Amino acid sequence: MRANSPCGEIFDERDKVKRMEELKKCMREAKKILDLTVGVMDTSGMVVACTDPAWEGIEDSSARAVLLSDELFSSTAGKTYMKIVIGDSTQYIAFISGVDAVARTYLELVTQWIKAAMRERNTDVERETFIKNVLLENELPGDIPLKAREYKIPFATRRIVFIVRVSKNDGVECLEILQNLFPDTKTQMVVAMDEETIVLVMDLGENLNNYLTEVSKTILDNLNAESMIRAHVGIGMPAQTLRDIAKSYREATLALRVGSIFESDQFIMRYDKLGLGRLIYQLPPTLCNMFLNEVFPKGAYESLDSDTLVTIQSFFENNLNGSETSRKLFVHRNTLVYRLDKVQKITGLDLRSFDDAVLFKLAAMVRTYLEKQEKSGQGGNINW
Amino acid sequence: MASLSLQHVYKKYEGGVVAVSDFNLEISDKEFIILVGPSGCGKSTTLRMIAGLEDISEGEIYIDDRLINDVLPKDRDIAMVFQNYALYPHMTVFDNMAFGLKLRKVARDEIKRRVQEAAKILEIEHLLDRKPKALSGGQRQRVALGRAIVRDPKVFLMDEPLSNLDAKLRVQMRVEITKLHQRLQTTIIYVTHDQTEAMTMGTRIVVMKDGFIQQVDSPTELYDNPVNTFVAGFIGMPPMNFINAMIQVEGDDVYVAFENTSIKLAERYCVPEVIERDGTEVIFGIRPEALTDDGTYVSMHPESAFSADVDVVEMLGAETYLYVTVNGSLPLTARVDPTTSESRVGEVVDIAVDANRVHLFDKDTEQSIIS
Repeated sequence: MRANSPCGEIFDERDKVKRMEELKKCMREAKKILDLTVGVMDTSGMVVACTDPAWEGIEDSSARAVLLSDELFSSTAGKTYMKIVIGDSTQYIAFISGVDAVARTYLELVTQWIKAAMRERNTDVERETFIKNVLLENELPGDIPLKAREYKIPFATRRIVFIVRVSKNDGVECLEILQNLFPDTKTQMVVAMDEETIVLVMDLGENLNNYLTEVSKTILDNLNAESMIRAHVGIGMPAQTLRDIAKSYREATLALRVGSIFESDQFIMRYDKLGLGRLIYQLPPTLCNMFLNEVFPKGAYESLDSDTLVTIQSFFENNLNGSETSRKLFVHRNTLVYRLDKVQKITGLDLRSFDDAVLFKLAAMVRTYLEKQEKSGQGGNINW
Repeated sequence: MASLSLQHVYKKYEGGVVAVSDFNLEISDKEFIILVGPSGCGKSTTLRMIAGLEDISEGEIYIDDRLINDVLPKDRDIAMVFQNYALYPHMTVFDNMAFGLKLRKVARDEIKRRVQEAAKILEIEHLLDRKPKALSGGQRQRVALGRAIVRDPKVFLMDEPLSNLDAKLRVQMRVEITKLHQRLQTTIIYVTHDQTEAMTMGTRIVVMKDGFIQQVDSPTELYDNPVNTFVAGFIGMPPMNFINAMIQVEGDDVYVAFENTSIKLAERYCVPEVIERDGTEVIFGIRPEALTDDGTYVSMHPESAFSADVDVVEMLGAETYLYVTVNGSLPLTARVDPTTSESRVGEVVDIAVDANRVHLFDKDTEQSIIS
């Protein structure tokens, strides 16, 4: 499906608000130049922006007559009205206090100004839709450089894709924050893919490693601090041209998915740091089940209690170093030895030996993967 | 303003990772609490659980007697300041501070009032029309704090807010935040890995390691009476000297023996917990400032003196660090008075221990022997 319209009603509403803001901005500027009251109403007659803010929200009963009139200009009750036609339809009505020729000229100028602002806004929306279509691979590869030129987007620039995943309720705020945090639309494009997925496509410098982590932390810290939004960031690999950002987007999506399975304590997931997780994620479940049945005798893993699992985790984290593990767990070394012996008795794997430890680690990861797969199959929410 | 209570709080991740274990803490209204510890000790996770940005695996968190385990982060009336907190580059300082309130649909007049009030507290009223690129590092950090202050929250949570600043600015902002706490009279929970920040800013400090609280105390108590070797070594710069030693009781006197040396301890160490360890090995802890090369002191306390080779002398102006070796194998650091110290590199000097300011730890548990 092509991403032709903003995603969801909530984003339609947001687009409407943006247009209102644009109109208000025009009125604020007009106030600096004109000493007459100028305003814009929607087709229902509600004043949406005016040089005198007291008029905003008030309904003008003349709107209906202006709309029905065949003329572009109308004058009544000391005001001059002009229809603002964008495309084929009248979208707004501009008005000015005064009915003389000067007022009419001013109104015509203000209307042209508003139309230009709206056109620019429309171009922004079209540009955003184009980027979305490129990310979703909905654009023909041959069309991308041509359209990129049309929207003044450099084609052969090195970029990277960040995906910011939030809950549905936080999508709009997240988009607002990110658009303000990355306002340079020439080098940073922020688009909402749906109500919980915001994408940042960013031009990339040379300093890749630290830069990506810094940007991700900045995103998370700002979302956390500004709106207490819980978020996860997925990062793809660098794309050499605009066409390749679709691949970077796929990688960032996969990073979020694989990260949510194997690194549930992390908020930043990088495709290039997925390691074994990425390998396991691509294995078919039947193969995983076979491997698991070969490594663990039936019911063996399930019979390990939580203390033992914590011990194993800590033993791995401390590079199979017994003294360090017992110190970190505040247990006597003999207790650790007892627990590792118990694991060996139950699973047949001696974790003090490197080969057995690797096998156990792999099997535990495969098990986690299968569990998550099963959960997501049952409608669980872990599958990003 | 609010009090907080964390009761038996745990954070466990899938696969057996336990980030925080049995965290118990009562935080009074208007307290400035510091969570300090090395990277990965669970301090940020604890802060995020208080904020609601992490789920709590077990336990309960209360703000003003209200259980907040299931309260949405936005509804907890908390403001956070982070390390990687960037300002919106195209907005003025005023708009930067107002942005969060606009998102919350706060009335325009109220936004203006709050921003101006916060700007006054932070003394940045004259900067309100400037853009971030026209601000210095310290001014930017103040704006970041301002964004939290305008929310008028019950509790401030700060996660290493000064870590990205250079050393000089960090010292300056440390003072600013302490003053801010005095002015706002609010509850602040502050996370840092920097023990100097912890010691200088907090009314109480929570030292954490591997997800466990090690000790909760005032800065002075932590420094003078650490409960274990970790706290003793983590707090204080240069860190405490640790020596494997043996307790020897002779009559009414207690000695600590190491490297052919025997130090007579002060009377306050002649207690049953120490005496009953006669002949057993302990960890003997000496803060660098409890060692001196002052000739007068050494001659007056021959029972606590020993000879050492001077390896390095670091002259810092107000104090001098001597890096010495006892018996060619035991390295020690001494913080001495530069006006009296005459020690030179390569010399053998007499060093005395202030036998009233030493620490004894169990060799196995590493816990302090004297409670």
